[in-house]
Amino acid sequence: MSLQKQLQAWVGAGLITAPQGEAIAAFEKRAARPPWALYGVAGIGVTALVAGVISLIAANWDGIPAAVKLGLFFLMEGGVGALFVRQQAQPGMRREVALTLFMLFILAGIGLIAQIFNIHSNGWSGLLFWLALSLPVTLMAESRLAANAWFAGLATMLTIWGTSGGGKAQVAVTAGYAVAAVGLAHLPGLRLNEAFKRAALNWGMTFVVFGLTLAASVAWSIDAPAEVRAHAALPWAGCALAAGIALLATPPYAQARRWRLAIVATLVSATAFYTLPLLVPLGEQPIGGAVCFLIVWSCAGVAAVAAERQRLFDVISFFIAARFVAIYFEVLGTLAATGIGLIVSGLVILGAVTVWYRFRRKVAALAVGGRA
Amino acid sequence: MMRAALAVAIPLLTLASWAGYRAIVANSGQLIELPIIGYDPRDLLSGHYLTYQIDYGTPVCPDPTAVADRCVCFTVPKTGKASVQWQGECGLRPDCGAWIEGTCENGRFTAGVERFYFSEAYTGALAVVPPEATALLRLNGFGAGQVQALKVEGKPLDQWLKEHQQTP
Repeated sequence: MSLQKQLQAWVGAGLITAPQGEAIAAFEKRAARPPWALYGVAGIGVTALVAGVISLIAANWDGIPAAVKLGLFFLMEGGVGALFVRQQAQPGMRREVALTLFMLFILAGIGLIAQIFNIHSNGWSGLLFWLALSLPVTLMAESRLAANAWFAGLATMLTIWGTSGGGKAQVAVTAGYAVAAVGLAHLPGLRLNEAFKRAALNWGMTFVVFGLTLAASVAWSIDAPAEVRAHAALPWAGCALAAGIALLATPPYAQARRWRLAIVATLVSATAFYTLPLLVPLGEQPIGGAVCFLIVWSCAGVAAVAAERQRLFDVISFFIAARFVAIYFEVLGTLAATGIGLIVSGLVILGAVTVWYRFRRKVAALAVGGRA
Repeated sequence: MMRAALAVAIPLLTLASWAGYRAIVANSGQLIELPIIGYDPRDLLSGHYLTYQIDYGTPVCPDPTAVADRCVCFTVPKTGKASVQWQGECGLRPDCGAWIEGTCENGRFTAGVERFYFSEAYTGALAVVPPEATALLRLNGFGAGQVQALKVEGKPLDQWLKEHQQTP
């Protein structure tokens, strides 16, 4: 509901007077946040511009000498950087567009130099170089695009590096926990940009809830040999780091305690789900894997409710429902048996929800002295 | 303001330094010529660069299953292709003037010189590594090499491509 409609409702209910409502509206207008739709459209333009520059570089214009190509690049990048420095004290779209262009053009520059001097890349080292160079400016971004682009690059780099063999996969997994820890950290003295922290939390927890449970579901469904036990220690170390940060963080939310506990439960259950096949030769356990999947995602759902993120909760509910349906197809096989099983389960779930809802209202009534 | 200026200056200076270092390597150090071949047609053309293998004339990776660092020393004639003088573990490398360091993986030795970019305009003319192709490498004296150019039939690659480009 928009602020105007909320104020009208409050005035209508007699909670505030009309002059108070006008004063609140005027205050919020002065402290208004940037229009997110405009930023979103600007983000599309930035993305298209950068993709176009990278495509031109990839075409490798033979007719232009290398010195000219490099000179043009540094001229362009220097100009965008200077624009950002000039605008950096004035929050707004120009500042954010200049910042985002600057950070993304760094990647184009790395590609250009690699192309001119025929530098053989293994795929992840160039990305790592870009992540390091673009981090200082990304930490100053107030828009989501720059921060999300940086973490998308980090996720891509870790995926390429982690899948290159030699036990790097578990180190990459641990890095995912570290990203979540960065997003969870609200420690005094640790000043990180809010957009960066939010992106870190989103990417880190998406990795834990989605990425880990996907990998674990596969591991529980096949008769895979258990890895060396030491490799399972790294994910647990990452989990301990993120969970410790979550418990020690200064809570910014109203339901802070419930949210922190739900986050810790999500981290611990996801780690247990992922590492158990590494430690113990389980064989094929699709039902057990599905139950663990539902436990992890349910913890994530509780965290979404505690953080009052309804759309996130809707997405989580969808995946839980999809996995729930998939279990029946895996176990029962035929459509008829699956259908009966799902109908029974659906009725049980609806019944449980109804009983829970009625029970909560009676408990609340008792708590306020018997008023129904 | 200072923080923003540093955040902008550091990447620019780093990229400029890196490009400058690469330019110095490309114009100094020992120039050697080595034959190149291709093994897997799928790897020969990716995007707009050519990937290939250097033909050292002798197996550099004795154990196809091990991953290990190896070094190769060259004898460089005044004209013509260089030849391998010594190859083995880098810790046992003799004092040789021209040498390169690389890694053995899956029986294949790579030293970061197995890629060459070319213009997309010539993709029609370059489907496989042409026969008798060679790579000109600059060796910096510290084990690193940089591809200077490719030659085919004694001509620079871009000249050969212009002569062999298919007309639409």
